[in-house]
Amino acid sequence: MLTLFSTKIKCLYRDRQGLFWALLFPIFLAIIYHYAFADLGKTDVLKTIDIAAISTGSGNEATLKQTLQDATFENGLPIFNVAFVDNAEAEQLLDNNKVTGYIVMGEMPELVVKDMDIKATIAKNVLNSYRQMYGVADIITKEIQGESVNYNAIMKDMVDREYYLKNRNEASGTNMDYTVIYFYALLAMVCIYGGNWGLREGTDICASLSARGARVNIAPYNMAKLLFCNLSASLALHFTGVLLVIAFMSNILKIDFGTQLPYVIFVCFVGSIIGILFGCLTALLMKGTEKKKDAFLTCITLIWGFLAGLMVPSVKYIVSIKFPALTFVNPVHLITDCLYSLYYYSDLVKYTYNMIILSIIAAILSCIIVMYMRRGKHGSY
Amino acid sequence: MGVIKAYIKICKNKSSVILIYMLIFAGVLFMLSQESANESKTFTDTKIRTAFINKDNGSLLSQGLYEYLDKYCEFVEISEERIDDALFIREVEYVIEIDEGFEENFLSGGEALVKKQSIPDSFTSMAINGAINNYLNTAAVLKTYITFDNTTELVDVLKTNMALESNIFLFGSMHSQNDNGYYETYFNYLSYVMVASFILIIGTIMATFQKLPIKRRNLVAPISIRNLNLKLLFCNGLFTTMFLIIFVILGVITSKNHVINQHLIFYGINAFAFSIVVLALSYLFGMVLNNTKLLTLVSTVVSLGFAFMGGVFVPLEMLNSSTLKIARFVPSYWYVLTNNAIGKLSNFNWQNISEVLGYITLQLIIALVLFVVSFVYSRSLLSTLSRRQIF
Repeated sequence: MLTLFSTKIKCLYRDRQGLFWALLFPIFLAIIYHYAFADLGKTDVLKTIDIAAISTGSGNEATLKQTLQDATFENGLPIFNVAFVDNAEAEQLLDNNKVTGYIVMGEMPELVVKDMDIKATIAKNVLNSYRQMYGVADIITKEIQGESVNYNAIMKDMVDREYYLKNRNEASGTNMDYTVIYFYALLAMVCIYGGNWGLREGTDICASLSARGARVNIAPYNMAKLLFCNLSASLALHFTGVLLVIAFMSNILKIDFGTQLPYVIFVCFVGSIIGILFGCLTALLMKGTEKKKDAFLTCITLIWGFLAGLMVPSVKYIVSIKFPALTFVNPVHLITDCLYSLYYYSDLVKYTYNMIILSIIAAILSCIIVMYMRRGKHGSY
Repeated sequence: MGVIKAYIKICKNKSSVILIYMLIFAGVLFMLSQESANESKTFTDTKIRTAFINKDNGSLLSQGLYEYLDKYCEFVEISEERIDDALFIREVEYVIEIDEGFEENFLSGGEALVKKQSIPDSFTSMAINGAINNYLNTAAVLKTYITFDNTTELVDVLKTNMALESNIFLFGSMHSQNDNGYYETYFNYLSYVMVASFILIIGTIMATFQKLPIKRRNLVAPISIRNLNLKLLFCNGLFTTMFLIIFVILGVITSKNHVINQHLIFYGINAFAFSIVVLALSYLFGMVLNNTKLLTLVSTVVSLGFAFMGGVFVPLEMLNSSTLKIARFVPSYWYVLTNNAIGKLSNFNWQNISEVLGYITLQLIIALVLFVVSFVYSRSLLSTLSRRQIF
């Protein structure tokens, strides 16, 4: 068996081009993800917003002007770059997309925008705060009529804000960066991409699928043992690639896998087994050409990745909440969940639960393959 | 006609594979667009699923805060024990916890902090953080200057004041009825589908022509390399146009109001320009990698890479400046930039559409460069082959 295993490794190693791409493609994707998500969703990417302001000659315009000019983000960057213009020019600027919107100043400032995007939302929030600040000042001045009211002091108190929030100190849930989902889903998809190796082994072992299969079948050797050796050799090479990806992600890209790396490796190992078994099963059970099976495998892996949040993480959560049954038949989702549970939870309950489901899937796939191989009979013409 | 006939024959042979890819990608595109269409572009209008744990029973201030936050949050009833699991599957995205004695501490000037758990540094959590602070700061200023008889009075004043909002008007009311928001999202996602499926389908077809016996056969055939390439290009162009027409019709059918307007025409023109770029890229990959397994991997890397770097899955404004610098070399970036510019068009005068046309021209230049590289590569490959001793 060891000879069969080492011979198969040599065979697979000869396909250098395929091996190179299979190992490198997830690393390429991880690098792309790393750049794309460098500051995703972080407030650091906020930029100064170009905005126009129109004077109406009513209300306390000087204060609003000052508010707009003084408003800054938490990092000290000015929120607005204001152009004080007339009505026609403001409309022209907005029409030509030179500004996000324009503010019609006055007692009740109004905001005109083309689209309620992030920038427009920020502008709206600043104007709302301004209106509410004045509302409070008005209420106070009305309430304490007769007494000496220091309007500026009230406004200063409104501007000098206190922070009334603190983080909940829970054992779990302290790590909540959702961008890691992309990397976990990618790693899960890489494991399932082992299907390509399994597809090749399935085709090469079955007499009705390939010339090599026909030749192998007349050899005086137990087919189950041979398939086991071939699949193990594929798993060894595929899993080496997965380990390289994990090493690259954790050491070079500094992706946080939590503190339990052996568990990460274990789930990836089980994921790789499922990928290879699924590919082998596709080759054995699906009718049609190898290209058709390859297309099916590519598409199913892509769909599993999509449902596990590879492209948009919210899809993963929608599936979890609305179609929980789908999560049990999607190994990419289960692997992603295992990885995320190691990152998120302080205990291993969720991880163990998902690992049990993954193991059941692997066992079912193995049983079907064994059953198929046992009853396989090929006529000699 | 020989080349065209061969092309059609290959397409027929691979029709089931092509159909699988088209159906799957149509499904993914539909789900992506619907998912994003449900997420309103108005951040403040998008309510965040929030768990509110109030341990300060009977507190009017915390009840007032709960009512005020209703503008920002979609409150979900969840027991405290289930909070971790709910956060894990994002059943809730923000957790607010009010401790016992909160109101009493706040009114007496003691430490009264609201506990929160949320996705760090995100825009959504930032909005709720701001709202909670805004409410409590206003309450603090009011109680400093005014002596209220009871907490009910304070909460009522707060409620009235916090309801004050500035008026927002949409310029030209562009996104109200005419599906432009949906079209923008749909056409952005279409670029991912185009890259993934064109590299797979066109690459697979082109790989057939790259097999050594066929290359040799073509080399001795009375047809020039230039003529052969142009005919293949014509066939591929026809395929991509048909593909695009099907997906544009699908976009109109899946939109809410099925509107066909100037925006849709411009989105279509932009998609056509981008399809030429992707066609050129697929043509090149098909020639360089004459192996369908490699094409599958390359298609995955390139399609997802273009989509993430080009602003398809992640809005361009959320990418940092260094990523944006790299993104300039990605055709999807220019495609998405064009779609964004089309989405903002309210007036189709020359000044406004010149920006859109400029981006489209840039995409066509990229396509031209890729075609030139493909032709040069094809010529050098065949001439190398002809010089080899092959018999």
